[in-house]
Amino acid sequence: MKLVVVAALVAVIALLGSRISFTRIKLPLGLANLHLIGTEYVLVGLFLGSTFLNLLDTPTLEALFPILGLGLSWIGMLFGVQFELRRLTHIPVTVIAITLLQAIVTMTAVALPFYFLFESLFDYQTEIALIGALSLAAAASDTGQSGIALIARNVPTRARPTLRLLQNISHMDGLVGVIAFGLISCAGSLHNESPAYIWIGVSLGLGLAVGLLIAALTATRLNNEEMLLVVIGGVAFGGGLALYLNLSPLLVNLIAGVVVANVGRARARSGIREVLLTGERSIYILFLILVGAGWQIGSFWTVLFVLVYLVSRSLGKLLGGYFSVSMLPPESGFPRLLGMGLLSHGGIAIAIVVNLHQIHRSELTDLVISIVLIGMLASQLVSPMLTRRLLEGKP
Amino acid sequence: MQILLIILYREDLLDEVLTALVEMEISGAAVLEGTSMERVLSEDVPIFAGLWDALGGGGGQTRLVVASIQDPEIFDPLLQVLKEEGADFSNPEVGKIFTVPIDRYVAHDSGEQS
Repeated sequence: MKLVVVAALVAVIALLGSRISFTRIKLPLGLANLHLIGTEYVLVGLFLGSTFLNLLDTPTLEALFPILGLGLSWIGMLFGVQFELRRLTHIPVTVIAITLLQAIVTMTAVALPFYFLFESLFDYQTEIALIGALSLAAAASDTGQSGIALIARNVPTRARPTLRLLQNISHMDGLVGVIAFGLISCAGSLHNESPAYIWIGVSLGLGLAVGLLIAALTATRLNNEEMLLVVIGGVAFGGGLALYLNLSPLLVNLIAGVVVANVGRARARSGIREVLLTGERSIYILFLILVGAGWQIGSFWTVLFVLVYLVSRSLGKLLGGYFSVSMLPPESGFPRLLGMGLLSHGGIAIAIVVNLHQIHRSELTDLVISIVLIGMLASQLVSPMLTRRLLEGKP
Repeated sequence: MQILLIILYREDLLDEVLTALVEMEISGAAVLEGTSMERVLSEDVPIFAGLWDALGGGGGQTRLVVASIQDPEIFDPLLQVLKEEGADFSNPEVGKIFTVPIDRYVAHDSGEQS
């Protein structure tokens, strides 16, 4: 009975919240940015969870586990279905190169210190410490869209090209993190020491199969209800099988989304997009509440890990931006401190660490979630101001 | 001669609209992609789907179909065919359709300036 009541309560909060959240409101920049990524719902979850009210206690969260899986799958599909190659050709190759380079440099800058920290402080086997560090690095590589969107309207004309570059990077660099984490989830130590290439193949095959299935089912005209049914069925099928096989539902559904975007008919793509966007906010809020409820804040030492995370991530973004811009001709006019505009954290980061928690539960994964959540709160507060200073030419 | 303009809010009905034009023997139409004013002014911020907006495929996208028609009398039959195809323009969510008179034009099929 408690499960039903709590599930209904969370669903009502998610539905109501989807109507009023994720819009610009007049607050100081940092707080407005926190609001734009739905931070309040993490706190609602924390309040409903075992730390305070204990409504969303551990058994209830366990019972709601499939909803988190569905949320991850939905996010993966939504993210993937945007990558329509026909449209991607409108983005210059240099922008795609900068996006990939800064994400990879950031991953490296975060993975290295955390691998040594996890290896020396936790009594886990080397591969698990590596998985934790790489998952954290994958989450760190993602740039949030909200911090940039918040100031986009008041940017001077001369800074518009840089703004567009920052926006394009923030729209696409989550791809690096999702793929990296998807590959990490194929590690042998998470699959009874079987070879990773088998699970990489299974992830690819499953994503292709789900994508082709959805494209085939939507080849004929469907009404809205039928389209909803096909999308939910496809997302749940791909995500459910991925979780059953201890793989990443994010990656599997991202692949399925890319297949649908490039193989599906135009009418089907439009219908699928409408369905996914309609549910985007409610599912994301649901997801944030459940993440908040399961959040183990940890000890004082967590704060030190968060500091290392913030420093290494900022360094990675700054170095990645610097290297990228240095490779362009000087007339490109992009600032060398491009990374200053890329410090906002995105929703993909939360999805990645929750996915980690679903495929491997330990004290280490609780710590990784805490680092990302607290790191996200801190970076959301300062990133819009730094982005604005960059665009105004006052770094 | 008139210009036929169709602002289509429901992108999924584009095939039906073009089929209806072909059925009414209207050819040479151009299809332009656009964004609704409401979308441009929207205060919403993308969570995961910013790339769609950046590449012109996001929600709030419209299609503008532009064609020239020789006979203004075909407007009402066209509306009927569009409705039969599923694009009922009496529903404001589908879009808007209207014609505009042309004062002068030059085209290879015109033979002369009109």
